[in-house]
Amino acid sequence: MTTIIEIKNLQVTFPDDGGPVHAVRGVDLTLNQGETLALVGESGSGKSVTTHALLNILPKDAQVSADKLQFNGQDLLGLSQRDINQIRGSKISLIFQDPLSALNPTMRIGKQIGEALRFHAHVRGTALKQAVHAEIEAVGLPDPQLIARKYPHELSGGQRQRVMIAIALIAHPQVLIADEPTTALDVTLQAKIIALIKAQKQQRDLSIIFITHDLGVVANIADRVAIMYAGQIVEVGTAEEIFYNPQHPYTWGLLDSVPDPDSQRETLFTLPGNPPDPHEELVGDAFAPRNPYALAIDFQEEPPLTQVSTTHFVRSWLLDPQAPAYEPPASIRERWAIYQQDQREVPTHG
Amino acid sequence: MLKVILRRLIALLISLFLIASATFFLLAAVPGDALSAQTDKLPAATRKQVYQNTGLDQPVLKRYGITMTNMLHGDFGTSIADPGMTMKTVIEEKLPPSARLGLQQILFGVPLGLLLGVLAAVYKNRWVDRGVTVVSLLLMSVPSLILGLLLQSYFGGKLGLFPIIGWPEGSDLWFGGWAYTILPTLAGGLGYIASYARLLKNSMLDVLSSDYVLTARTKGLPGWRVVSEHVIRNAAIPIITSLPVTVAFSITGSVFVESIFVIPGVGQYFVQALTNRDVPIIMGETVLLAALYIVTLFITDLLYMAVDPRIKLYQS
Repeated sequence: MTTIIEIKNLQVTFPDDGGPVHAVRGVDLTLNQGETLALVGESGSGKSVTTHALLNILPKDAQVSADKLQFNGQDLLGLSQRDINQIRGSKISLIFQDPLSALNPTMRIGKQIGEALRFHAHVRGTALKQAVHAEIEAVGLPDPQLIARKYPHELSGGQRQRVMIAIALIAHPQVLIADEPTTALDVTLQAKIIALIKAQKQQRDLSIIFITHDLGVVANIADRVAIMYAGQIVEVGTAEEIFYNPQHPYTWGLLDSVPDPDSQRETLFTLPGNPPDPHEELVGDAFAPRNPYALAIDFQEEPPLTQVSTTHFVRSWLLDPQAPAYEPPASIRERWAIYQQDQREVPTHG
Repeated sequence: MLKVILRRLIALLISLFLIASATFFLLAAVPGDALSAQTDKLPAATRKQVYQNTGLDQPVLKRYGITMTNMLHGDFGTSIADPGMTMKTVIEEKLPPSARLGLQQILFGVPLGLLLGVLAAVYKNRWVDRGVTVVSLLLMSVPSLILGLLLQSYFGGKLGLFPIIGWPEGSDLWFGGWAYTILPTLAGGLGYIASYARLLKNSMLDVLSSDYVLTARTKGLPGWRVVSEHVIRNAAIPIITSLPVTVAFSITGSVFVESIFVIPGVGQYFVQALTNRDVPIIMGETVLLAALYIVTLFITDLLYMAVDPRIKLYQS
C-alpha cells in the first residue's frame, strides 16, 4: 500500500480580534493509494481547514506548521506559488459543499470545466471542447453541447454538483478531496452523487478524502474513517472498526446521532453542549466537558494516542491500563457484539 | 425585447405626466409668481396688462391645461424672467459648459477612484487600504459645495494659483481656459474618486472572498489569471451599472459647483429659474431631467443584462 498523502502534527492558527483561533491542533493523517478516507466531525472541527492547508488555499493570514505535509513524498509546505499551482487541479482536486456558490455565475459551464485542462495540459480549441464534452458525459449529464453553453444558474442543484465533479476530474488528478459534496443536496440526489463519486474512483483509480459531518453518508463510501474533534483526530480506523468497534466516547455520540429507522427510541440522540471556543488554549481533553465518561485526568492532561489494532488508533484516557472499568451505551455494546462475532468468524490480520 | 421597450416607454410617459403635474401644482401652490417682484410698484392697470401678456392671470387649472397641451407638442414656452429664453436656447447655450465640467469630473475622478479601489482591495488592511478608506470617507462626507469653497479660498485665494470664478467661453468653450476648469473639476471629481473607490473595493472584496474564486484557485490557475478570468467581470457589475447614472447627471450640470464657481451652466440656470419662479424653464428642466433619468435607468438594465447572464428583462 503506497502512502499518497502524509500529514504529521499539522497546526493551523488564524489571527483574530479575540486572539488567535486554533483551528487545527496537531493532526496526523495518511491517505493511501486507492482508498477513500472519510474525515468526520462537527462544523468547526477543522476538517476543511486540514485539507485546505494541503493545497495552500487558506486565507493569507493563516499560520500553518507541520512536521510533515507531503504528497507523493514531496513537501507541500513552503512550496512556491508556481509549484503549488502545478499540484492544484492536476494532482489534487477539490469539490465544495455548495455547487452554486462554487461556480462562477458569469462564465459558461464548458469554459469553467475546461480551465484546468487548458492550463495544466495546454489543450486548446476543438480538442479542449471535445475533452469538456466527454467529461460532461462522464459525470452523467445528458446533452454535453447544451450543458457546456449554459450558465450555473440554469442548472439544477444535482447537475451543478456533477459539473463540479467534472471540473475537479478533467485534469486527471490522483487525489480528490470532496468537502461535504452532498450536504446541500436532497437525500435522493445524495445517493446519486455518492454513487457517481464511487464509480469515478473505480474508473480513474482515485484516492479520496471525503469530508462530512454525517456518519450515515460515510458508511456507503469510506474504507477508513477519521473522527475529528476541536482540531484533532480523536479516533481513526477502518470503516468496520469505527462502526462496530468504536472506542472514543465522541464516536459513540456521533454514531448514536445517526437516524436509525429500526431504533426503538422516540427521539434522536443529540450530543449535549457545544465544541470548545477555538480561541481558548485547551487543557486536557477538549471533549471532556461534554463527555459523560470523562475521568479526572481528562481535565488536566491531554490523552495520548492508543493503538487498538494495526489500523485503529484512539485518543482517550479510557483506554489507559489504569482507567477504571466503564460500560458504553447499550447501542454501542450491540455494535461491539456484532464486531466480536465477525472477528470470530473471519480471522483478520492473519 | 420590443415589448419591454414599449412597456418602458409607456412607463416613461406616465412618470413624466405625474412629475410634470406635481411640479406645476407645487409651483402654483407657493405664493407669488415670476412677475410679482417686477410688477410690485406698477400701477394696477399696467400690472394687469403685464399679467395678461404672460397668461399668468388665468386660473390655475386653465394654465395647467395649456401648459400640458403645449408640452405634448414639445413646447415648454418662453422664459418669463429671462425674455427670449426657451428650452431650446437653454440646451444650446447652457448645456456645453455643464457637459464639459461633468466630463472632466468623470474623466478625472472615476479612473482614479477605480484604481484606488483595486489597490485597496488587493492590499486589504495594509496602509494603502487604510489611506483610501479614510480619505474616501472624508471626501464622501464633505459636500462638493464645502469642498469647492475650501478649494477656492486655498488654491484660488491664498496661493493665487487658479482663478476663483468664471468659465472659458467662445472659442475656449470646449478646449481651452483650462486654469478656470481645474478647481470646479476637483470640487466635483474628488467625490467620484471617493465613491468609485469604495464601490470597487467592496465589490472586489466580495468577489475575492467568494467560493468560485476559491474554485478557480484550486484549479491551479495563477493569480493574475484568476483575477482576469473570474474576478474582473464579476466585480465590474456594480461599476458598469452605476456609471450611466453618474454620466447622465454630471453632464447635465451640478447645482452647487456651478453656483459657487459662477459657471454659466444648466445647474446654475436651474437655480436662477427656481428663485425667479420661472415656470416654463423649471417645467422644462424638470421634465428633461426626469426623462433622462428614466432612460438612463433603462440603459443600466440593458448593461446589467449584458454583463450578468442571471438577469433577464424578458422571458424568452
